[in-house]
Amino acid sequence: MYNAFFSLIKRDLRMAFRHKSEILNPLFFFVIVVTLFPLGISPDKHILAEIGPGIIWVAALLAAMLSLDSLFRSDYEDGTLELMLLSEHPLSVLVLAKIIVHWLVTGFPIIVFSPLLGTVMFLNGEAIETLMITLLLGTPILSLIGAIGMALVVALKRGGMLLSLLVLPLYIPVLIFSSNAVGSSMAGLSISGQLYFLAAFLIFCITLAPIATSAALRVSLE
Amino acid sequence: MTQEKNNFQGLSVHNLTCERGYRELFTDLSFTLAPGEILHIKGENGAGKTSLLRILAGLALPVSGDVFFDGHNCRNYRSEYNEEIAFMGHKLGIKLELTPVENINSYCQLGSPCTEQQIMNALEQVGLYGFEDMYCNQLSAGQKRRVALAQTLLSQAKLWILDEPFTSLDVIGVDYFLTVIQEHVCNGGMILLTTHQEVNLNNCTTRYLQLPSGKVTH
Repeated sequence: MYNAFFSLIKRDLRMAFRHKSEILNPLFFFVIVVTLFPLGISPDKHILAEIGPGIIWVAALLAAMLSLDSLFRSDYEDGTLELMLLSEHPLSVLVLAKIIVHWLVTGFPIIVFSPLLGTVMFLNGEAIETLMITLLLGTPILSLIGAIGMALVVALKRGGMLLSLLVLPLYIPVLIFSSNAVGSSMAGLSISGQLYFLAAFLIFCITLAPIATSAALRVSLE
Repeated sequence: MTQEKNNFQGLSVHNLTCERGYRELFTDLSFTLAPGEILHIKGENGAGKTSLLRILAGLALPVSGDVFFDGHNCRNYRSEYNEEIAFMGHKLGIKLELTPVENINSYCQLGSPCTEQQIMNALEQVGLYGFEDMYCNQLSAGQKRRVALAQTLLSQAKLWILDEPFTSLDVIGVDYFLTVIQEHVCNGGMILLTTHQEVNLNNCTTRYLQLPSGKVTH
């Protein structure tokens, strides 16, 4: 089972690096969306610092959602998803491997680039640190919840709009607690409550999302 | 070993009913498949051949009825059943961004792992020697089919479920596929296949299942 898990991670990473656009597109999208706001609203330091955390988080959310298509779509189209379903190993374990790769390819680069964007939005050092911690806890949740939605719409020809309707409402708690944590840390308040919530939510999603995703995949492929 | 073979009961299907969009494709379909047998499923387009194969592979659920493998209900022993079947559908399960070797390797990792040497041997057998380092999007449709055949060869499954396996293969490819099928059956394997071609194999028990009537003939 571990063999299957790690070989699937290796295979998907190898494919992602052969298709570099899969890594670069969500990242560019994230950077561009965030940089549009100072241009569109005002370059004023105080305004940007106030709306910065929310904007960075909304952009991360949209980038994660737009990249969900790469999670199962190509596997569905070329039939490898069927072979995964017919594997003797538990489907939820294989699904978890795919979700981990999705996070490594789309979530992780966002975390690496977030200090830069935090600086663009005039966040102070402590707030940038908090931003990175919330992204570290939050982006895996985005991949995990997104996988359930993607598994439900994978067989539909135009599932993009439906996917955002399914998934975005479920992202709301992550958005609220994360941007609130960044705002609080800028005001010098304690943020442990928000971080504990995010960590608990992450563990909840890691445990249950792969099971829900594999059930959704079985329904979708029928 | 012989004892084990004698005890092995093969596949048996009881009262299978399948619907597609409120239209009944077949009702109360029952048949058995013993080790060393080929069941050739025949029927017009839309008769439910692919649906039947997908149900038997466990990818789709029937409206009613059960599939037993070696006396156990497949739905309750999914992982054990999956170990025993190899499925080749319309979609081949080949990643275009990967080479044949990488494709076969990742397929094998999902089931029974195999060595690099075994993969090379299988590729040579299916006539893809010299193509092992090319990306699959540079291969022709028939060559991709051969990669899928190599995957099936390396699986240690007893039951092969093949949906139109000869599509886009050339004459030599079809002949080779038929010898592979014959070999598998002679070693006590079982084959379920749909094809519009005639399959004539010597010293193999071939039976025909006509859809939608469900009549089995020799």
